[in-house]
Amino acid sequence: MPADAAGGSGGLLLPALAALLAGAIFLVDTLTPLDTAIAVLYVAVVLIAATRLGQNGIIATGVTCISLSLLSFFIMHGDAYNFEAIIRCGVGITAIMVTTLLSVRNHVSNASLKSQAALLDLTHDAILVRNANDTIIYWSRGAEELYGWLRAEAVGQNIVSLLKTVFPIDPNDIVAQVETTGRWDGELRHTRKDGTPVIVASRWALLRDKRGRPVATMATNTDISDRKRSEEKLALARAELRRVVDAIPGMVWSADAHTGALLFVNARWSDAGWRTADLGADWWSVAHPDDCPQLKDMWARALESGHPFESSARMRHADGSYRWMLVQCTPLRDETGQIIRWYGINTDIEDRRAAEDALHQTQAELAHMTRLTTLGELTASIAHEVNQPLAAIVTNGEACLRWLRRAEPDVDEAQSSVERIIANGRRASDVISRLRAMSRRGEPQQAPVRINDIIEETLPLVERELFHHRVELRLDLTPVLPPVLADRIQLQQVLINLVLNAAQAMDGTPDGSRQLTISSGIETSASDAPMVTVAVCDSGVGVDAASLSQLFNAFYSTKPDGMGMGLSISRSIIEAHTGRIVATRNAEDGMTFQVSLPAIKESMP
Amino acid sequence: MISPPSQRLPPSGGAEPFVIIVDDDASIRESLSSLFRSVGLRVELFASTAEMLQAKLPDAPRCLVLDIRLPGLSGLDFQDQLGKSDNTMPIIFMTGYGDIPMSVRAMKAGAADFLTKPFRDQDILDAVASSLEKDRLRRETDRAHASVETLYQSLTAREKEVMALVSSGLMNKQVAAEIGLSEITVKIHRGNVMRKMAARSLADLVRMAGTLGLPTDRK
Repeated sequence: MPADAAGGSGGLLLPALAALLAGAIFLVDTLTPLDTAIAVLYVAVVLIAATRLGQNGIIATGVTCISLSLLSFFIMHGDAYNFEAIIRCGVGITAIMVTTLLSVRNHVSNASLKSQAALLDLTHDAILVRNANDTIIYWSRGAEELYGWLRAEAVGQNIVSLLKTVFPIDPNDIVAQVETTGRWDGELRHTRKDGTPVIVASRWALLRDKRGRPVATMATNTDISDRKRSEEKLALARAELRRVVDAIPGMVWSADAHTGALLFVNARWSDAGWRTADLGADWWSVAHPDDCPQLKDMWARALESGHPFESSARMRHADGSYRWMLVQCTPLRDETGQIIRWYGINTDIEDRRAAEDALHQTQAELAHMTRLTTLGELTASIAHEVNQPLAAIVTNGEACLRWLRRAEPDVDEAQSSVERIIANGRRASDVISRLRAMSRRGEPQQAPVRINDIIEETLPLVERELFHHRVELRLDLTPVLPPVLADRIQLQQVLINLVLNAAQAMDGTPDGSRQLTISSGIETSASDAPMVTVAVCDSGVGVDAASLSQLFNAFYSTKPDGMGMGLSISRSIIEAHTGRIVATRNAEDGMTFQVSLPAIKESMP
Repeated sequence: MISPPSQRLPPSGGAEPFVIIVDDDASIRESLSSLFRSVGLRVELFASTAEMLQAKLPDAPRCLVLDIRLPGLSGLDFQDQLGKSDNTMPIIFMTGYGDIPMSVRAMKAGAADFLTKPFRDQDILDAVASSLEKDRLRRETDRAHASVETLYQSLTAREKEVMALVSSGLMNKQVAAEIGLSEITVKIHRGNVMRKMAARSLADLVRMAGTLGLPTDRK
C-alpha cells in the first residue's frame, strides 16, 4: 500500500533497524575473516523491510543487500578469488534474491486481499459473518454505520444478544432452512448501539468447509426502516381510503372494462346484502324486473360506447324490498384513451323520491285548496247574486197574489209580476251555472273564447268584493278583438284572482282613490304572433322591486294572511295557455298585471 | 192583510203617505213597488241615496225602505247622515244576509225594522204601515208643536213668566209672591195667557207648557 510504503509517520524504527542491521552485517562480512556465508544474514534485512515497504522498496532493499555482499566479496577477495569464497558469495546472493522475490509475491497477494476486504467495506449494506456458535467473526464498515458498534467492539460478541434480534419466525426454523438450502432471507428487527430499533432485510448464506460442514454464516443486512415506514403509511392511507369509500352514502362499485363484471363494491353493498361474488357481470339484475331491461340496455350501450351514463331504477335489497336508486357511472381511461375500468355509484333516492312525490301531491292539493278558498271568498258574492233574484221572485209572487185578490183583480199588474218572476228565475239559474262551472274539477278544456266575454262574465262574481273594498271599477275594453284558445273557467279564475288581489291591495289607500281598471287590447310585434291582452291596473300600495321578482313564486305573499298560491297558480295556468303574465309597477300608485295570450284566427260562429 | 192605509190614516196636510225604496238592484225595486202598489201605497223608487236626496218629494208621511249595502254611501252611513239633519223618517233596512253587527248598529241608530231578503210580504207591509203611522204622528206632533209655539211667541215676557209658574201648579197668590206683583195683576196676566194661547182650561194650558218643554213640576 502506498501509504504504508512511505514508511508511515510512526514507523521509523524498523527501517532504521534494517539499515543498522545491514551496516553491521556489511562490517562483519568485510572485516572478519570468517569463512562462512555471512551475507545470508541480509535475508533478515529484506524480511524486515518487507513488513513495511512496498513492492519497489522490497526490490530496492534486495538489490542493495546483493550490492553490499558483492562489495564485501571484492574487498576481501579482490586479489585472490578462491572457489569457496565465490560459492559462499553465490549462496548469499541467491538467498537474498529468493527472499526478495518471495516477499514481493507475498506483498502482492496481501494487497489483493486487502482491496477485496475494502470493497466489502464500501457497500452500504452491513455484512456480518458469524461462526456456528453465533459469535461475530467479521463486521463490515457498513455494519459499523448501521448499528453503531466498531468492528473491534463487535467481533467476538454473540450476534443475537448484541443486536437483540427479533425473528419473524422461530429461529430454529431459519437455521434448519439455512442448513438445507444454504440460504434464507427475511426481515429482522434489531436494536442499535444507541437503543433505537431498526428493521433490516437480511440475506443469509452458509459457508462450508471442504468437507461440507458449516463453518460460518454470512448475513447481508439492509436497513429497510424507511421503506417499512412508508409501507405502513401507504397501508394506512389505503385503509383510510377504503373507509372513506365505505362511508360514502352510496353503493360504490368498479367493473371490468370488457366483461362488465363487478370488481369491487363498497360496504354499502354488503349492508344491503350483496357480495361481489353474487353479482358478477349481471349486477343490473338486482334491479326491479320492470327496470332491468332499461338498465341492462344502458349498461351494454355504455360499455360499447364508453360514454358515462346515469339512470334510476328500483334495486332489490337483501330483505326483498325495492328502493329507488340513482345509478351513475363513468369510465377511467389510460393515457392512450383506452378504458381500463368503470367506476359507478348507486345512490339511494327512495326517501327523496318519496318526499318529491309527497311535495307534488301537496302542491296539487294546495292548488285545489286555493281554488276552493278563492271560491270561498266568492261565496258571499255568489250568495248575494243568487239571493237578489230569489228575493225579487218571492216579493213579485206575493205582489201578484195581492193584485189578483183585489176586489177588482188587476191582471196587467199580476202579469208584469209573473214576467218579473220568470226573469229573476233565469237570472238566478245563470248564477248557479257559473258557480257550477267554477267549482268543476277536471281537465281544462280549451276553446276559442273572447277575452271581453270572459271579463264580462267575471265581473258579477267579483262585484261584491269590489263593493266591499269600496273600489271604483273602470272598464277600458277594446271592442273588436280576435279570440284566444283558452279554458274559460281557468281564465276566469286568473282574472278573479287578479281583481281580488287588486282590491285587497287598495285597502290601505283612502276611499275615493281606489280605482281599478280592467282593460283589453292587442299587441302585435314583427317576430311573434299577435297577442290578446287583458290588464288589471290598481291604485294600491304596490310592492317593492325585490318583491316584484318573487310575486309569482309559490308560497310568496305580501299579504299577512296570504298563502302565496294565487299568482303562482295564475302563472301556471297562463303558461299552460302558452301565454305570459307580467307584473309591473305603475308610474304613479299601484301595479298592473297583464296577461297576454296568443290570438287565434277568427273562426268563431 | 191590512186595509189600505189611505182608508185608515186620516189625511194630514192633504198629502197621501208614500214609501221610498232605495235599492241598486232594479228587480228588487220593481218587486217592492208592485207589492206596495198592490195594497194602495204610493211609492218613490231610487237606485241610490244620492238620487233620493236630489228628488223633490211631497210633504207627506213617509218611510224609507233601504238596502243596507249600496254603492257609494252605505245604508248605515246614510242613516247617520239623515239622523243629523231635519229630514228624519223611519227607515226599514233590507239586507241580503243576516249580519248581526250591522242590524244591531242599525237598530241602535233608530231603524224601524231590519229585514233579511227574501222577506214575507206581511212583514214588510206591517213594518211599512207602522212606520208610516209613526211618521204621521210625528208630523202631527210637529205641527201641533209649531202652532203652540207660534201662540207662545205672542206672549209678553211677563205673561210667559206667569204661564210657566201657573203651569207648574202655583196658585195666583203664590205666583204673585214669586214675581213680586199684586194678585190682581197676576190674574190679568193669566187671563191674557189663557186667551192668547186659546187654552180652554188650565189642564189645556199645562199640556201646552209640556209641548213647549216648560217646567211643569215645581214641587
